[in-house]
Amino acid sequence: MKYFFLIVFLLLILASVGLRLSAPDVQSEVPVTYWVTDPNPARIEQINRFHRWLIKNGHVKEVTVTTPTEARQLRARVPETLADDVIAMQPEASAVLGPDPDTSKLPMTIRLPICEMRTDAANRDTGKQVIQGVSGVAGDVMDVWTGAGQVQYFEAIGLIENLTEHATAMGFDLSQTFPALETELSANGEQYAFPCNVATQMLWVNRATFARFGLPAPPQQWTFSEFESFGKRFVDAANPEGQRRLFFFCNHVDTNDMIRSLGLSFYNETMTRCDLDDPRYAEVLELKYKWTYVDRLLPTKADQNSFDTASGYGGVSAQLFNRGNYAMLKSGRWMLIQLRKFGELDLALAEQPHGGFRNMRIGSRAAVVYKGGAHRDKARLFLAYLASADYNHLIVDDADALPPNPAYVDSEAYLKPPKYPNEWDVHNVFSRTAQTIAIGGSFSPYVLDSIARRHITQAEDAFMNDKLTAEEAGEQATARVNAEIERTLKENPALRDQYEQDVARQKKIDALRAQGKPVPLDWIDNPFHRVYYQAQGWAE
Amino acid sequence: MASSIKQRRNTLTALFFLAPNIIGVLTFVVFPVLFSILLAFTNWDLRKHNMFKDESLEFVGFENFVRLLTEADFMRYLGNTLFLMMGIPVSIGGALFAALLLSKDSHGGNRRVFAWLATSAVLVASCAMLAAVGMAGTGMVILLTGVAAGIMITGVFGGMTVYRTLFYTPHFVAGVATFLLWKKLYNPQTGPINAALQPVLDVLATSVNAVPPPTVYALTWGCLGLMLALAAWCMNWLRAQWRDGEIGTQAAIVPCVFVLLPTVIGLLWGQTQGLAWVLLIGLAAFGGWQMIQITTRGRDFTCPRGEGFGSSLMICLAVMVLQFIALGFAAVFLNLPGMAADGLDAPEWISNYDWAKPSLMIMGLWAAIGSNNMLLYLAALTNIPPELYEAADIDGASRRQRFWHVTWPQLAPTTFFISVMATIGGLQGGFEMARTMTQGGPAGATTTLSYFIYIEGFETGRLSFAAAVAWALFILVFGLTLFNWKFGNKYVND
Amino acid sequence: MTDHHAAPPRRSANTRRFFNSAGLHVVLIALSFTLFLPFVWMVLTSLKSLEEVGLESWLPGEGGWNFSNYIEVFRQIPFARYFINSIFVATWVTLLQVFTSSMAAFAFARLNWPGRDKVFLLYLSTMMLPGLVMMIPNYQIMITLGLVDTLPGLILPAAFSAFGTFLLRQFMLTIPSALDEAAEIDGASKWRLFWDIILPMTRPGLITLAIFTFMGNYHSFFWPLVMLRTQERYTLPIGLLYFDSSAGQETNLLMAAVTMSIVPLLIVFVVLQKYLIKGIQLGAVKG
Repeated sequence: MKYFFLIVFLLLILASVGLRLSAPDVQSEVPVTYWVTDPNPARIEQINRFHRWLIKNGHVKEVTVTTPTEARQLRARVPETLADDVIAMQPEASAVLGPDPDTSKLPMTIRLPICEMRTDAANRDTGKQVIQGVSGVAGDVMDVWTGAGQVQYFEAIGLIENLTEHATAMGFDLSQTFPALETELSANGEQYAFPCNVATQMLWVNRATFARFGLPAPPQQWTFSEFESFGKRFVDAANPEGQRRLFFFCNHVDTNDMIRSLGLSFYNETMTRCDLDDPRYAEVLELKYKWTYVDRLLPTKADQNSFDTASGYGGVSAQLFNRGNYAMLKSGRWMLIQLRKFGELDLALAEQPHGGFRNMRIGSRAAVVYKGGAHRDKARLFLAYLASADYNHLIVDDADALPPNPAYVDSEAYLKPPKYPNEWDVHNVFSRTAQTIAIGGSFSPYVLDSIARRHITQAEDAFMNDKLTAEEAGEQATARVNAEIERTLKENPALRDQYEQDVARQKKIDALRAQGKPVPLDWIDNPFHRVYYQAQGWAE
Repeated sequence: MASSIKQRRNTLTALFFLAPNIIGVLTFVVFPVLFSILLAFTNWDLRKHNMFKDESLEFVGFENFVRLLTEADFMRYLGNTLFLMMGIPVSIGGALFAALLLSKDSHGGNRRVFAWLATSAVLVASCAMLAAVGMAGTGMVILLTGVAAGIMITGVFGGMTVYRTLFYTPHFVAGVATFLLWKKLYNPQTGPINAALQPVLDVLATSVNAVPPPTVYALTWGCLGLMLALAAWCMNWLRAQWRDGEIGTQAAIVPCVFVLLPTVIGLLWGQTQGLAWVLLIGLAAFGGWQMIQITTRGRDFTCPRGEGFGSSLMICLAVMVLQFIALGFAAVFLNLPGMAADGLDAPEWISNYDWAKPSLMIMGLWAAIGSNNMLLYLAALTNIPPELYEAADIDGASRRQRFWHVTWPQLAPTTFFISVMATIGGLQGGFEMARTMTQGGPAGATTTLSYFIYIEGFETGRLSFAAAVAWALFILVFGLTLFNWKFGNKYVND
Repeated sequence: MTDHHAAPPRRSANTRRFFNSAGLHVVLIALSFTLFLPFVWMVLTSLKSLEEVGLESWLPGEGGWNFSNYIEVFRQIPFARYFINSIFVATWVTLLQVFTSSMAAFAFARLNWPGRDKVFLLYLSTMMLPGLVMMIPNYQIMITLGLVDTLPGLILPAAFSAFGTFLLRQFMLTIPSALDEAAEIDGASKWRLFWDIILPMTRPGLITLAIFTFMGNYHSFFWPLVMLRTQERYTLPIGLLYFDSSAGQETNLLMAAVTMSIVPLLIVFVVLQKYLIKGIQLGAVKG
C-alpha cells in the first residue's frame, strides 16, 4: 500500500519534469498579438489577410539575411502560416522561408509584418475576461457584442482604450461604419470599438413551406394584426386538429423592437428613467403571450431554449426552418452559412411586425483594444484593417453578416453573389434596412445595461409564466431599474450633477411635448427617440 | 509541572503533524477568507478599484449587509437554496440504502442455478424480441432489454464489484459534464425523457377523457383515505410500542407531529378545498380513538422517556413522506379531468418556472444515490467489527434492533461528516449548475445564493456586496453545522 | 456451513436464501438500470451523426454508427493535451491531499492538546465560505507567486483543504483507543503510532479520500477556467465547454468527449475499490 503511493509519487515527479521540458518555447521573430474571438474557421483567413494588409501598407519589419545560418535561424522563428503570408506578398522570400530553401539567393531583405496575430478562442467568457483583465492579463484585441452593452461595461471598468483620436488618424472612425452603430460603439461620446461585422436580424421566410400549405408568402412589412391573422391562417392550415403542434409560424419576435414600433423605449429621452410602466409595454407583453400560448404562433420559451438560434453559425433551428417546422426564422445574414448547406432554398425576407413605426435593432460584434496590453499600437492597426477594403470584401464573400463599412454593401458582389441566385432577393433587403430603419441600442450612462436587462427579463419571464399581470410586470421592471439608477448615482457621486442637469432637461422636453411644440434635437440623448422624433416631425 | 511539560510536548507533536496541511490552508484559504471579510465592509467594486482606475477604497460599515436584508431578491434566492436542500435527507438516505444493499454478501446458496436461469431467460426473451422486430420495430425496446440483460448477467457473475461500479456511474460524469448531459436529457423537444414520457401522457389523457369524472374523483377519495389510514396505522403502531415498553413517552408523542402535518397541510391547501371536511373528521376520529385507548388500556411495561426516539422518528418521517405522496396524488386526481381535456403535455422541465427546481432535485437525487456518500457508507460499514454483530445476535436482537443499536451508532461519525458536508455543499451549491444549465432559471427560479454571488460579483463588479452575501451564507452554514455538531457529537463520543 | 437439520427444513432454508439472494439481485439490477440509463444515452448519442442527435430513437439510424466522432474530437480540440493536464493535476492534488490530511487528521483525532476541538471547528469553518468570493484574493496571491496560468497554480490551492482532514478524522475516531494505549505502553513514538498502526487501519478512509479528491479535482471547472489562459494548459471540463457554446452545439461530439474523459476515472475506481472493501469476502457484514 505504502509502496503504491511511493511509486505514484515518483511517477509524478517524472511527469512534472517531462511536462516542463515538453512545453513549447519558441522564440518568434515578430511579437505575437492575440485576438480573443470565437472559433469560427473564417477567422483564419481574416488573419492571413491582416498579415498581408500589414505588409502591403508598409507596416513591416525588415530583416536582412546574409548568411545561410541567419536564414536557417529566421526560418525557425517564423511560423509556417505567417511564412505563407510573407511569401504571398513577396514571392522571392520563399527562398528563405519556403519549403525548399535556396541559399544562392542571399543576401535578401525579407519584409515581415510587424506582428503576428493569433486567435485565442479559449478566453471569451466575460466573467473571465473581467477577472483576468483587471489583474493585467487579457488579449490585445477582444471581441465584444455591442448589443449587450459590453462596450459600455468594459469602459466603466476601465479595461479598454479610448480610440477616438487614433481612429480619425488611422481611418477607422465612426464615419466609416453604419451611422446607427454610433451609440453602440461609444461610451460617453468617445469611440471605443470598431465593428468586425454588423448584425441585423430579420425574419427569414421559407417560401416553400408556405406554398406547401397553399398560402402566399408574407409581405415584407406588416403590422401586428396582419402578422397575427397571417399566422393564424398558417398554423391552422399546417397543424392537423387534435395533435401536438409541430409547425410554428415564427420562432421568435423581439419584444424591444415591438415596443419601439409603438414609440416607446426602455428609457426616456434623456435616459434618466426607465419608462416601461407604460400601457404600451403591457400591450406588447399581452400580444406576445397571446401569440405564444393562445394562437400558438410562436414556440414557448422552453421550445426556444431547445433550439439555439441566438448567435453563431450552428444549431438545430436551421434544420427546423429547412424542414418547415418554422415557417419563418428570426436571424441575421450569417444564417446563410447554414442555409447554404441545404441546397437552394426559396428564400425571402420579412421585417418584424410593427405597431406603426417600422424599426429594427442593429448590433455588431466589435473589436476593442485592451488598455493593459503590451502591443496596443499593433492592436489599433488591426482595427484599421477592419475598416479596409481587404477585410470588407472577405466578409461580403463569406456571407457572414454585414461588413462594417456600408460602402461595400452596395457592390454587385454583395447584392448578387454569382453562385447563389436564389439569394438575390435577400441581400439588398438586409443592406437597405440596415441603412434606413435600423437603430442602435439605448444605453443609459446611469445603469449598467446587463443589470437593466436582467430586471426587465425577469419581469417578462414572470409575466409569461403567469406570476404577474402585464401591468405589474411593467411596474416591477421600472421600479427595479430606477432603483438601480439610484444606486449607481449613490456609488458615483460625480455623476449626480450630470444627472440633475439631464432631469431638468427632461422636464423641459416633456413640457414642450405636452404643448405640441417641437423639441431641439440635441436635447435628446436616446438614439431611438432621436430617430422617432424626426420621423414624427416633433424635432427641429 | 510534569503535566504542563507533557502538554507542551503534546502541542508540539500536534503542530508537527498539522504543519503541512495547515500552512497550505493558511495561505490559500484563511488569508482569502480574512480578506473577503474585510471586503464585505468596504465598497469594493471591480469597476472602480482595479489597476486602471485610481479611486480609493472606502469603508462603508454594515451598508452591504443592510442592503442584503432589504433586497427582495435575497430572500427569494435564499428560499430557492433552501428548497433545493430539501432533497438532501432523501439523498443521504438513498446513499445509505444503496450502501447497505451493496455490502451484503451476494453469495446466496444457489447462485449458479440462478445465473443459468437468468441467462437463459434473457436469451429466450431477446429471441422473442428480435422476432417481433419486424412488426413493432422499436429499437428502443430491444436496446433497453439488452441493457437490462447485460446488467443482469454481469451482475450475477461479477458480483458486487459490478453493481458498485454501475451505481457509481453517475458520479463519473460529475460536474460540468453532468449538467451538460442533463441539459440535453431535459430538452423538451429532443430529449429522451420527454420522448418517453409523451406517449405515456397521451395514453393517460385519452384514458382519463374516456372515464367519467366521478370515477377519477373516487381515486381522490381513495388517496385521501390512504393518507388517513397511514396516519391511523402509525399512531396505532406508536401506541402499541409505547404499551409494550419499547419506546418511551417522549418518543411516542413528539413524532406524532410529523404524522399529523400532512393532514393539516391538506386542510389548508387550496387544491383540496372541497374535501377538507373529510380530513377534519378523520383526524378527529382517530385522535379521539387513540385518546380513549390510552386512557383505558394504559401501559404494560415502562421504559425511559426518551427511549427509542430515533427509530420512532424515522418511522414517522417515512410515514409522513408517504402521506405527502398520497396527498399529492389526491390533488393530481382532483385536477386531472380538467387538465386532460386538452391533452397532457410533457413538462418543460428546466425551462418551466414551476418545474425548474424539481427538475434539478431529480437530477440531484440521481447523482446522489450512487455517489461519494455511498462510498463513504460502504467504507464505514466494512469497518464495523463483526464481534458487535455477533454480540447482538447472542442477545437475540431482531434485524431492526441490530440496525439501530449496532450499525447506526457505528455509522454516526460518517453520518455526521456526510450531513455537515451536505449542508455546506447544499448552501454553497448550485453555482455551476445554474451557470451551465439554466443561467439562473426562468425568472430567477433556479438562482441560488452562490449564483447570485457570481452575478453580483463578476457580471456587475460589486464584489463587496458579493462578499457580504457570502458571509451571510457562511453564518447560516456555521449555525447549521454547530447544530449538527451538538447533535452528532453526542453519538460520536459514546 | 453444514446444516444439521432434516431434509425439508434444509430445502426451505435454501429456498429462502435463494429468494433472498434473487430478490437482492432484482433490486440491485433495477436500481443500477435506472442510474445507468442516462449513461447509455450518452454513449449512444456520441455515436450519432449531428443531424440525428435530436431524434427520438436512441440508436443511430441512417447516419450510421459514427465512431469517427471520437477521432473528430481530437481534431477539433487538443483533447490529448487536456487529458494529460487533467490527470496530472488530479494525481498531484490527490497525493498531496491524502498525505497532509492524514497527518492533520491524526493530530485532531488521536492527539490530545489544548484547544483541539475549538481549532477543529475553526478549521471546519474555512470550508464554509463559498469559494467564489475567495476567487479574486486567491488570484492576486497567484499573481504574487507568479503562478498564474500554470499547472502548479491549479494544484496548490486545491491540495490543501479541510475536507480531507475532516473525513479522515471521522474515520480515525472509529479505531478503538485501546490500540493507542497498547502502543504507548510499548514505548512507540507518535510517528510510529501514526505510520505503522493508525494509517493502515484507516485504509478504507484513505482510499475513499483518494477517490473523492481525484474525481473532484478532475471535474473542477471554475478555478481552472479563471486561472488558465493558454490553451495548452487547459483541463478537460473547460475543453468540454467548447462543444456547448454559441459557436455551435455539437452534442454528439460533446458526448464522445465526455465518454472518453470518464475512462481514467473508471480505471482509478475499479482498481482502488478492491482495497476499499476489505472484509467483504469474509462475509463479515450482515444486516
